Amino acid sequence: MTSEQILRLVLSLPADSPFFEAAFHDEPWKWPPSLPERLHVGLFDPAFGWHLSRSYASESMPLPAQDWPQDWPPEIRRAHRHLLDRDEEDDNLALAQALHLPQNLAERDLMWGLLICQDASFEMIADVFNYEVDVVRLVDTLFWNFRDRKHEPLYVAQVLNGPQAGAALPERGERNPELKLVRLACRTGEAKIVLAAAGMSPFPEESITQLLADQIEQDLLVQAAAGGLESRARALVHKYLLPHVTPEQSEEVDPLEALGISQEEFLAYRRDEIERQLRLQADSGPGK
Amino acid sequence: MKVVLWKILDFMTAEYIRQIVEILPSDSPYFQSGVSGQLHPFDISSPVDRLDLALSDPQFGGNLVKAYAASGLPLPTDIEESVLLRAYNFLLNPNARDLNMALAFQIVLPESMAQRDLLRPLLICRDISLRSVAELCSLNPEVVSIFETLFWNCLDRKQERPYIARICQSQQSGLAGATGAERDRDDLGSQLLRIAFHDGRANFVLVAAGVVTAPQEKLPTNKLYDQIIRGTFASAAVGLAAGSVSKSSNPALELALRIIAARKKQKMTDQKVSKLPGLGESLISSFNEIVPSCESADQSEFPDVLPPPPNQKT
Repeated sequence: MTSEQILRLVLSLPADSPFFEAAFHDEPWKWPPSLPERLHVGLFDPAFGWHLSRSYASESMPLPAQDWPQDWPPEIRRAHRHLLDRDEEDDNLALAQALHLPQNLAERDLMWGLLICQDASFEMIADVFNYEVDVVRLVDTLFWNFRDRKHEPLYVAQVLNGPQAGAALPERGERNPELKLVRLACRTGEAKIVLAAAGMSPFPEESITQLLADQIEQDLLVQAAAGGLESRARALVHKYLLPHVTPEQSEEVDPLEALGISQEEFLAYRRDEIERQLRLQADSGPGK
Repeated sequence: MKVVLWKILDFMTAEYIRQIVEILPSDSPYFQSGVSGQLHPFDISSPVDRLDLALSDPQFGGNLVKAYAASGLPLPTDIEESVLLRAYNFLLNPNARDLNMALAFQIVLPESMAQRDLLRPLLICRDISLRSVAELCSLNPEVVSIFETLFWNCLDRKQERPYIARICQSQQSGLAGATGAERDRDDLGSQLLRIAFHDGRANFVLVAAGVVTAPQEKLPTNKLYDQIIRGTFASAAVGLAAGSVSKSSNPALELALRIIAARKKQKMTDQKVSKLPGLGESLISSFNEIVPSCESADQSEFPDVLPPPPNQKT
């Protein structure tokens, strides 16, 4: 779901829509919410699809038919149907929902992290979890709308750092999850690093170790460069990393360069000398 | 007095703000609301204090219209700038269908701090235009323009480096514009502003914010080292200029000296190496001394014009 799709829908919802009632249930002082507030809860909720379908289902109301965009993912209607009629079996939706229970925090964080990585297909993620691809698609559409919006820095910043990050969960009000793998995924965009950090890497250990080492160095440097002078990151860089980049210890020194002679110079000298010696030998040889 | 607008794009200049301050009465709602946000003693009856408040307020436009809307007073009739009038009208009726204004006000909601933490430094960066910021953030350029004009006035005053430095620092120190939650924190928002002010590259801000999901967007490691070293040197120099040499008052000095010493040592090693003839050079010169080269031998034995061969009759 793109931001344009969500914006269109949010604008079409009445101010007293069940979606907004649910969103502001714990903040009655904000009722009725202003347009900026309504835009905020709609546009910056990664679980918008789930919250929308659930809010209408909990009021036993049909989803808003008017202005319902044709290009909207069918998973939202599916979730709404399922929530209206609990007897209707939908195993994959139940799995997607179960993944977001508090006890499954680690698995959920991994799934969310992988959904951010551009090199992880739905099929690859499904393989990791041994789920059907449909489950991954349901998570992507209903609970973690990131793929379609990962190129929006404000959205990513809000989801990662905003107080509304808890809204990504099925249960509002839950504390902001740590999102460790999600942050790593945002920084690297690489599934193999996320899997390695989760201890689930299918790749050779050595290459992963180097990848993680590079990532640690890069992240620490970024934090040190961004942080204040007295930041812990900067202190760590000065203590462990800077001594190795100061010139005297920078790289292994070629013995020839230490003697003030370059490889080219040395080879040229050797060639000239050999030719000269051959000439001398030829000149002073027998018969001359 | 009518406040004349020069250009739409750069109307919120220091001069424009000065003119507005001149027409506002000393008991204007803007000044009254500004008193509570000041850390320093603020004398509302002092024209200097009032001018200083307005000139150092990056949210001057937003705070002005908010103060008047909250007080129920109309905006002074001399203010004709359409963005200010639109914002004022929007505040009187926040459900009005002014979508871009609503989206701009969404960014300044207390719960949108994470968005502001990123958008403000991006607007400070020197390598990106307002339009590009909007494109990058998937926002209508007008939304960014409204936000910038009302809540983060930096583009029209970009040449005033001390002002830019001040607003980048004031977001954490509690000066004008900072909300309670934003004070006293040296968090991501202040770090990103520091990068934007000192480095000026939007890409660096995005990487530091952790919102770039493409692996190729990594920054070159050597540039990051340079940045850290530069920051250390700058801080040490500032501390030293103030006479601070102790570790507690100038913690960067020792770190800077360590780097300087390492560099000096390396420079001396380099000079030694370049001054002393290397093994190759020594061998070549010794060899040349003993065995004259063909070229020099040719030049010493033969004149420029060769004599005719012995069997040739002249």
